[in-house]
Amino acid sequence: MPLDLNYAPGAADEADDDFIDDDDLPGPSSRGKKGGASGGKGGGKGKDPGRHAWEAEYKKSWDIVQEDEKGSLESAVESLLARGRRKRALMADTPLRRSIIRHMFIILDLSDSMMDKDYRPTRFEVILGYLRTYVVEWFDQNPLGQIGIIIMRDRLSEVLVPMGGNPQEILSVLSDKRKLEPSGEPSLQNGLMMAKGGMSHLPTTSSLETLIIFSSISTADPDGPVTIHNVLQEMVDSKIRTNILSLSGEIKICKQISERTNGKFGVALDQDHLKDLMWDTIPPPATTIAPPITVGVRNALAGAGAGQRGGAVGKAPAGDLMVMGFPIQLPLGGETLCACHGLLKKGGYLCPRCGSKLCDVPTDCEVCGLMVVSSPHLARSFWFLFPVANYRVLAIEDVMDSINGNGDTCFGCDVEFPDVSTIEEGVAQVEDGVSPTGRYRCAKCRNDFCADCDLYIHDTLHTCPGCSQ
Amino acid sequence: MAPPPPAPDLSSYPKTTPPSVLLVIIDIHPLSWSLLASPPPLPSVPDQPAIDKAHASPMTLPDFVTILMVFLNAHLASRWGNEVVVYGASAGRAKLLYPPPSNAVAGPSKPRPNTYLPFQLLDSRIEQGLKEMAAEEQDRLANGDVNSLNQPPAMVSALTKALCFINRINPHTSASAALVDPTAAPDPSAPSSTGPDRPETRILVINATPGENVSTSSSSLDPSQTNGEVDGNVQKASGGQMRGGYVGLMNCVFAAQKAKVPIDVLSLPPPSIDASPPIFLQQAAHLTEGIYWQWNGRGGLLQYLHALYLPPPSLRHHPFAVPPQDAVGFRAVCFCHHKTLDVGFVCSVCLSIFCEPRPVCLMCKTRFPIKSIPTLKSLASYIEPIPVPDTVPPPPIPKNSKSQNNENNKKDRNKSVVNGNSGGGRGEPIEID
Ligand SMILES: [Zn+2]
Ligand SMILES: [Zn+2]
Ligand SMILES: [Zn+2]
Ligand SMILES: [Zn+2]
Ligand SMILES: [Zn+2]
Ligand SMILES: [Zn+2]
Repeated sequence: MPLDLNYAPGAADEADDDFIDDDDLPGPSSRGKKGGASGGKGGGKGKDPGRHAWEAEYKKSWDIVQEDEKGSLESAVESLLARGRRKRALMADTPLRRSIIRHMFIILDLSDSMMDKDYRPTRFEVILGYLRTYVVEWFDQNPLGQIGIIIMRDRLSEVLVPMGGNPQEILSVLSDKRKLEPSGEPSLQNGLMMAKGGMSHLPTTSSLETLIIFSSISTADPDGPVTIHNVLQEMVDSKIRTNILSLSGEIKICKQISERTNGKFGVALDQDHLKDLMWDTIPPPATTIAPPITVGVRNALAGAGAGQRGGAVGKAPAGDLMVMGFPIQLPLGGETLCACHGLLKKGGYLCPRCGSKLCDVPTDCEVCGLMVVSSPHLARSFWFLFPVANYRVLAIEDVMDSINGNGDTCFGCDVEFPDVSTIEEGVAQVEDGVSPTGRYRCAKCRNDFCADCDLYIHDTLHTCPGCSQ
Repeated sequence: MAPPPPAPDLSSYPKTTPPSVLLVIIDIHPLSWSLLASPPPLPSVPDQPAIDKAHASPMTLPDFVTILMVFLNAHLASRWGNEVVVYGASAGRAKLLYPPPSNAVAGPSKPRPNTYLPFQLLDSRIEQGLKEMAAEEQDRLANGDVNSLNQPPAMVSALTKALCFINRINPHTSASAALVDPTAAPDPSAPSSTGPDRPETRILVINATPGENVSTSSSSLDPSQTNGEVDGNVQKASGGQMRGGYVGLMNCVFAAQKAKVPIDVLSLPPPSIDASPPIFLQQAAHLTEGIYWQWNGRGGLLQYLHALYLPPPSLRHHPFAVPPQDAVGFRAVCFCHHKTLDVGFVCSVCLSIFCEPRPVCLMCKTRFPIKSIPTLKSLASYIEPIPVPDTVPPPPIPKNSKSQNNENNKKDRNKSVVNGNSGGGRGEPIEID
């Protein structure tokens, strides 16, 4: 009864076999045994049926990393790389429509259950730590988005940070642990009501979302005529996508809420899985432009969320053209009056239409009303629009065939490839997605890249050095 | 003369700096260099006799390479462990010039006894690499491939190669980072993984091509662009056609930001050739906290290189100082015609930028309400670009030719200057704080 079949493409098949130790006696003594079987992906499938993943002992990620016989971490790193490659391969190459202007409330359960010590040192500490990195990463990928934080404790909900676009503000609140002391029980209903109220003024063209991190196993909602089901209906009507991550197993109402609002529901199996689930919500939510009809059961399962979502939004995607001005940023020279506060300040931006000085962008110009956005803000999301197609793994024969074609250095970093003739055929790695020749070829520009560059280009750079010539 | 600066607090200076890897991208586009070799006469600046005396100095590629060589040797000599990587960017292609691949020649045929070997290696190999690249260009021309010579220099390709190189020697975010417990490092401000011996890296782009370059001109030659637009197939077409373009440059900038690599830009075309600064390279320098500087066409390049670009990033602000940076125009490029825009139309769903209102988003196929198009048109009409204000006030004492030059250049290319908008504050380029 794996709990995580219903969400996140890719998560389902890695979560249960990568991180679960099938040994009854985890700890240092088990490392040797595991090391013997290292590289054996899928070994976890044969896990003791009597044990659930969340019952397994917590393991730090570095415990999983095994040194090979020579004492190097290479093979471990290699399998991590392979995992990344597989994950990417699962990401469809089909064009996606992404909602880039996002508003998200993070609803944080601060009930007593957060003091559980199944995550070290406590759930509370772990989640606060994750949230701080999450917020930074989220704003990095969604520079035009806004985040607010709502906490649930003592059956009440409270807006901890109002909706805003400043990660520093959120970070400073999140670092004050004394104000965040967990206590009592959570009320999901109150939390959702608060989130809905906080987003009621926002346009529906932007993506409205909540991310609920739920640690308790029940919700303690107020008595009265309004039930959580009414609130759920209101969430559906106002198209607020609700993602719920449960730390304590599958909870029916949570699952129902996320399914009805086209969100994701996930049960964290352990600390790393929780992180994976949280990080899955960082990229802007996507809908395929043309929903595939039938692409096999596996893809259908993986794409289920997206398909439904597309259906819910309706056939004609709504959107607007916005007129935006790209400002001139002044150097930190002398002080001049700004149009927004009427104060003397250094630096600032000039509205390209009326020339008045604004303290910060993005903003609406105080004088002429133009939306003033610095173009790098927009450019951060361009890689969604121009993704680099996955590179093809080159087998030995491929390289033999095209000896004359490409040089023997990586087109990115100019490192030399291993000599093909010295690669022993038998020893070639069987790990899927890893090239035995160390070469990966771009289909478009037909240049070869090394594994490092392949990873870097697809994860960070988002521009193929060959194709940009 | 200026009063002597207050005695600096020596104890606050860094005791040591990490070795520094300098990646130079040199634009060797033949057309650009032919322009630089015979620049139009400079306008005279009668009110600044000191500058007026400095004559316009034509710059040829061999002359510049000699200067660059001195600069690179100075970099190598300034700390043990410093390294140099040089890329050449020519019309539509980029290539690593130095260091040579290890299977190539092991070294100069006969080491000269009176020369520090690394200098000799660097000089000979760069010379050789440049000659090879020039020969390739000659071949292209001989093969009648004239059109490809009209392409702008492949700056983006060179930048991606440089970033890949940096990623290999300084892996920041790759697999090894995945092994680190994220709760352990919740503090994003902490300089992660900057050990004492971890080399600091920086990229120096030497731009020789006038105009806003980088993206805008490349695609106008590309016939597939209009086709793609007509059959609505822009998604695919523009992916390949924006090569070397704005999107690629911005992606490089963000990757460099992540790796904390400053991109320095030295733009050679003086204002007399180039009415508009290379604003996207300027944006790149600004966003990565690099130094942007435009040569004024009056010589002194070696001094500029040494004074502005020799200090490694860790010493730039202290004890050295960076030159005052100009106002940066954050203009963008439209996806449909690759025009540089002050005001554009942006799809609310995918944030694609267009220069004119349209009923359907080219990228994400979102439909826009048709009835709003006239309103949008009127909102965006009658826009006269605001001139970049002159942000450099005249220095009180005409003692520093550099900032004055810059100021005058700016005045020349920008007649409608809003001087009231500036203020004091921009001091001398080099000062000790
Ligand atoms: Zn203001
Ligand atoms: Zn305005
Ligand atoms: Zn490589
Ligand atoms: Zn490519
Ligand atoms: Zn256009
Ligand atoms: Zn769009």
